[in-house]
Amino acid sequence: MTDFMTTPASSEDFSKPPDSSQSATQWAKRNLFNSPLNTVITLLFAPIAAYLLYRLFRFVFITGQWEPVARNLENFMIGQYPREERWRIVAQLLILAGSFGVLMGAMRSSARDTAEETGEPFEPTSWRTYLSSFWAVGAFLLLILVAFVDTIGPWLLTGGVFALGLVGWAVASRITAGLRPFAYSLAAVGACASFQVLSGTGGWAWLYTTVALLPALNSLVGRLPRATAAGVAGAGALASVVAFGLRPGLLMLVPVAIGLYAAFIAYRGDRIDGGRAGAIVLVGIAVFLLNGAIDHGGIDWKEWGGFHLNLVATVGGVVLAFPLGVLLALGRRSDLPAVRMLSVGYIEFFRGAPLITFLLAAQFFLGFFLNTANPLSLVTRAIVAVTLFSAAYIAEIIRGGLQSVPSGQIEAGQAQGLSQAKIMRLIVLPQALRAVIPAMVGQFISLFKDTSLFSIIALPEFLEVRGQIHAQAEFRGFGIAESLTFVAVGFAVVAFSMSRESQRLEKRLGVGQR
Amino acid sequence: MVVVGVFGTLYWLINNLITNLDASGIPIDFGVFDQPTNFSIRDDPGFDDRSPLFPNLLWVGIKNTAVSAVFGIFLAITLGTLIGIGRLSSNWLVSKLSQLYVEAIRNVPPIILIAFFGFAVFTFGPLPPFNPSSPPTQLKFPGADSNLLILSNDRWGVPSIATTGGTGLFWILMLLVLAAVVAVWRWRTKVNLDTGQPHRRVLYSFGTLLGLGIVAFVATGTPYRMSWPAVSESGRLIEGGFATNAGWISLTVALGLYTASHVAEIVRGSIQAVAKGQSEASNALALSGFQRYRFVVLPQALRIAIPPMINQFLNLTKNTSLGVVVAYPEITQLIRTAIGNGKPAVPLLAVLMVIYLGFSFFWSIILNIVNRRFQLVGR
Repeated sequence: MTDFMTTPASSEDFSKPPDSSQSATQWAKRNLFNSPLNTVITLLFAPIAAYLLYRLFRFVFITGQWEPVARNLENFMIGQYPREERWRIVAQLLILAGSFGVLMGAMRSSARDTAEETGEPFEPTSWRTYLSSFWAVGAFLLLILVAFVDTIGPWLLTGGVFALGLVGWAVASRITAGLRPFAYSLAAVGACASFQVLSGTGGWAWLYTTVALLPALNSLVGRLPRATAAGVAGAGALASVVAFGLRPGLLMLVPVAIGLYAAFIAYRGDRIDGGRAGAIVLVGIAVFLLNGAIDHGGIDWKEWGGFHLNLVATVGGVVLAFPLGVLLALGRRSDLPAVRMLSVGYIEFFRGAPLITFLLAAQFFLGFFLNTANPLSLVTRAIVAVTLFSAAYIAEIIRGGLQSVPSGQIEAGQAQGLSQAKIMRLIVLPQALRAVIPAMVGQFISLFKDTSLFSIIALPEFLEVRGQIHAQAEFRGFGIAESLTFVAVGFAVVAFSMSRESQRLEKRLGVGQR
Repeated sequence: MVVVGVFGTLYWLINNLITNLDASGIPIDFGVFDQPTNFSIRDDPGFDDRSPLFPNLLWVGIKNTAVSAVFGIFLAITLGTLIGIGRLSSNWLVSKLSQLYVEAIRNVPPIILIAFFGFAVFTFGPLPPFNPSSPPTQLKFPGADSNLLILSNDRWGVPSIATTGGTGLFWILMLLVLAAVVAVWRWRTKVNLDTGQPHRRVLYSFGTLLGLGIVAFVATGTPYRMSWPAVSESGRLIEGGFATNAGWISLTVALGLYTASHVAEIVRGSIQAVAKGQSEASNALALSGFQRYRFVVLPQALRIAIPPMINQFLNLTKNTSLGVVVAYPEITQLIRTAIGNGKPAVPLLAVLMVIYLGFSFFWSIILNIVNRRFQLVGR
């Protein structure tokens, strides 16, 4: 009250806001001793807090036996991954960092252009905002590097990751709208390539890479003259038929179908779209051949471990479960009772029992469900279990998002004469998925924490590596609290930063305010 | 078409399962539940290696899961409510300490908390081991003979209440006391309604219960007495009192602490969710701080808090399956041990999942009852 009444000392002070800083005593009076009860509470808790702080300090810097952690840092990070192949992980991290930087930069330039178009002020997220979310991860990394690392390698790796990320970001945030699809494709192809460096180019890698190239292809073919686009469509059809002739098989009918479809719509007059479909086939076949040509070996994820495995299993669990989760959420809202009951049954079953039971099932008999000659590895089975499990939770999150879309949106779509599927795909899902981003980050965090349960089925993840270390005679029976603290903090800093980021997104997207 | 596809896939999967299990000679039927377990539990003398899987193993497991869940939930509610209110305190120190607790605990996987208690606090912790060559720490009252606490890195002994016989009569008398309590409650309500005097029902009823209860207790010849824990002559067991093992304490305390961090967030969120005008209105009515909380804010916050709170209780119940880390014999650990002893996995894990679905079902029934009740009272 009295602040308003005080007369400024001189006339210049009118141009500045009133001095709101307070001395330490004032601050303490306001926040610690503002009532008799608070004084008592402060006097009671201050010594307790001081003592705990003292014990923590002693534990970390004086009494703590950090030797088991310091000498096994590499085991903690990558488990029993073959040491002579470590360059693959280094390469993966660097490529991923660059791709991530490009992605963030492209998204930023897109946000800037949107702001210019709509005339709204563009408020870029400052590095301070990111720091307020991710300071814990950074501090933990720095602490490890300073305290436990005596070689230059990890320093260089960390520095390289940050440098590449920043370079990618700086370049991509300056590009024009026309180049942006290529930046997105570059980021996505980089993400695919980083895993191909790690685990080889076999399996479905060609498919992911082709999907990653879609934005670039879309944009590229869109600029071609119509005649050239028709030529691309024809070439795609021809290539798909040739490929089928060289290697006939049920799966090879898919490119043939797309190729013939391309030729058909190009013939009918839609040259550009035909060209797009044809280009997909051409690029898909090219990527497939290229992947076969540059087969450089690779380490199967049977041999992955440590913190790396936790991260991969989490990302895999969320990404693989997402399509299934969307299907289940739509199924739960379906008009067909049978579809609805199947979805509800699935969701309630997987939400009703703890993850351990499904991991045990994966350990003991998941392999028997499939009629494969070569059985799935334990990691694969665990990731299948995690995927099926998290799909149920993702379905519930997406259902919440679907419910948050006002019914007026659907009615507006009907008024425009859109089909049910188009309303879902073009109107409802984009809004619903936008609204669930924070909750999805929450699911990501809880799945990340749940990957520690892999230790129960003896998969060498972060926590299990700790147990293996103490099983050696060298480290038996000492440094137990220290190594557990290390693992706990490792999980906690990532989970903490992600949850801060999800709170920020929640505010930024204005969830619950529209 | 979708339905046919789903059922077709399910049929294919289950057909594969049966064919493959037949081929490897692993039984899939539920006959296995008549077989003996072939293992025993140290702290459960009633359960030995000849007990059949059904019902003994399931019963012991469900009981232990429920015991751990109940105590964990109790701890989580108590601590979580205190910390949740602490976060809203105007005292900077208290609110920062509460925030620190919440952020530090809820981001750590519960399995690591359990392992921390099991290994760092107990097995390799500062407490002495429990064996004939090294007796555990025995805390006694000054000048008394009996132990108040027996502490070791393996098991703890705490005082308990033992019967000396003649409890039937005592409980019959207690029923009468209960009737008297109800009568006093009604009487005070009536006084309040008729004359407008403060009813003070809780004070009067509690006084009646305590006074008449003590009379009944003494009149029936003190049917219960304290039982103090003692180390047996072999030096391996705890006699008297209540013996609890490190696994149980680790699991319950760790889950209680972990869930408390979530409960604290729920408590804080629901108090903040009560419209600010409510608080201001009660200020305008000159209610005291306590009255404002007791009669205006908390009743409304409670309605918001209860559904997510029950969800947390369900999570805690499911998380008791992490007892496998410290070998606490709850249902998952027992079933896992049985599978490790060569019992077929498919029927055992199927039953395990059904048991957890039962726990979930139980909590969702509670949730529905509470929701219905609160809606009736509320609006």
